[in-house]
Amino acid sequence: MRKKDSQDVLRKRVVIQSLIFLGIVLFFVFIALHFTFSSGLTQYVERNEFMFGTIVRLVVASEKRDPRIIMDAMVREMRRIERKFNPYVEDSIIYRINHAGGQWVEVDEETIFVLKKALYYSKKTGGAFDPVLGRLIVLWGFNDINASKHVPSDEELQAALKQSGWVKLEISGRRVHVNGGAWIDLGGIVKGYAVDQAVRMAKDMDDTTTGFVDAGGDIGIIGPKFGRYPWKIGIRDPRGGQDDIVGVIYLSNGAVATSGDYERYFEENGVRYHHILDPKTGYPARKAISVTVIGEKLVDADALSTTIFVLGWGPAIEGFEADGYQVMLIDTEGVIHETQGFKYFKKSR
Amino acid sequence: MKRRDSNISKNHGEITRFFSPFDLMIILMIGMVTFVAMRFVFTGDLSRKVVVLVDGEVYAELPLDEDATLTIMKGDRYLSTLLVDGERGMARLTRSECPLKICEKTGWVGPGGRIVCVPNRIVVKVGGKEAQLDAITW
Repeated sequence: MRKKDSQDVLRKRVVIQSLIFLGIVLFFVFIALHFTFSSGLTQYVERNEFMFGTIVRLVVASEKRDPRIIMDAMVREMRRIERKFNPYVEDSIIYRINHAGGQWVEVDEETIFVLKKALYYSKKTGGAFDPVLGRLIVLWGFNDINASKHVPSDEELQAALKQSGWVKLEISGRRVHVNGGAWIDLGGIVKGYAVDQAVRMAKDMDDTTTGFVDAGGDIGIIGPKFGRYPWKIGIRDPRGGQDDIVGVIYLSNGAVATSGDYERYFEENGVRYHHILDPKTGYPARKAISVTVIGEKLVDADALSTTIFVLGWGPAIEGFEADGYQVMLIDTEGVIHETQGFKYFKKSR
Repeated sequence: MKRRDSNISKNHGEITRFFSPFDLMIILMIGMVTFVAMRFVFTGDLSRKVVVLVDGEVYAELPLDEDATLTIMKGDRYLSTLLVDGERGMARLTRSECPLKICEKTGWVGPGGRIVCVPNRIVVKVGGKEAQLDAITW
């Protein structure tokens, strides 16, 4: 009798022990799933697309909508802008302006906005940023990643320079024209504009959307990582490999653009010829090897990184800093120059 | 106050009556393993493999710990060749049909890295380690 009682107690104890054991394991599973999906580890969806002659990486998460649907819309918008402003395809608006024989062309408000933005930087920088260098870009072969590239002769360069320059572009109301056989090429600004539009679209579709768009190293932030942390972004070492960096910045919003002499270049007789041309000489700019600009919108950061690459480190930088942009420049000696505010982005907050 | 103390010691006594220190240790270990496993399962693919994407679509997946040579084609057109060094756990593109050979100049890439060939629309992702950075501005 006593033995049976003791067996019952033992069985009861094993059953209760197992139930508690199971309960504890389920509790741990619940906690793990909770941490994985609800707070620290929102699921980011990544997509790679080839646009603007580079790779565009979208990293998106959303609480209300399927991130893939948001990314579809973003990619569609970027492709629309790429096609519309590509000066080298026949159905684009820029092609129409370039090939109108100097006649005025009626365009839409978006085109006016982008062209005025480009001209704003041309005027502000005395032509260091120039959206009318199409002839020069084609001469060097930088308009097409597959085009053969060579150093042009002086005669060829002088002829192309005569057919270049932002002063040849005029805007009157909704009408635009370029004279003197010049060609508009908005390569220094349109990628940034497209990313800004994609970021805006993502936020319009769902205000909880976070993530970023990385268009060949020019990055527009949609929202902070997991809704609260800054994104950790490396600044590429211009003389290192693709994954070598010279520093790290932390961005929760805004944008960062970098222009470097290593993005598109070819070598001839041991000399590197890259794609950022000095509008005054027609040759690749030689005052920097890398310029990084942080700003609110990528369209501005994109234009300024190209501009400062041409200008080099100088008094103009103070003006850009006063306008709210932070700059890091690596000169041809490898010396790093930074605005005061740039250092602020190097610290995790 | 005195009564509450006696309840606590009673509960403590019941726990130790049902679970030996060894049982508690096992429960704790299971909990930790579950937690870590969940994070790995749901936070992305950290397996040691090389994923080749062409035009954004998965073209091939290869283990990172075996030597391999993969010819990457698009229809009848040759694009590039992927080499996997299983011993070092690294991958690289070679003999690429592109003008500037930037993908070839990237060289050998280890876990967490990637190689991009823009003209041929190839992306090679090397898994096995979470990337240290979210992105690189260049």
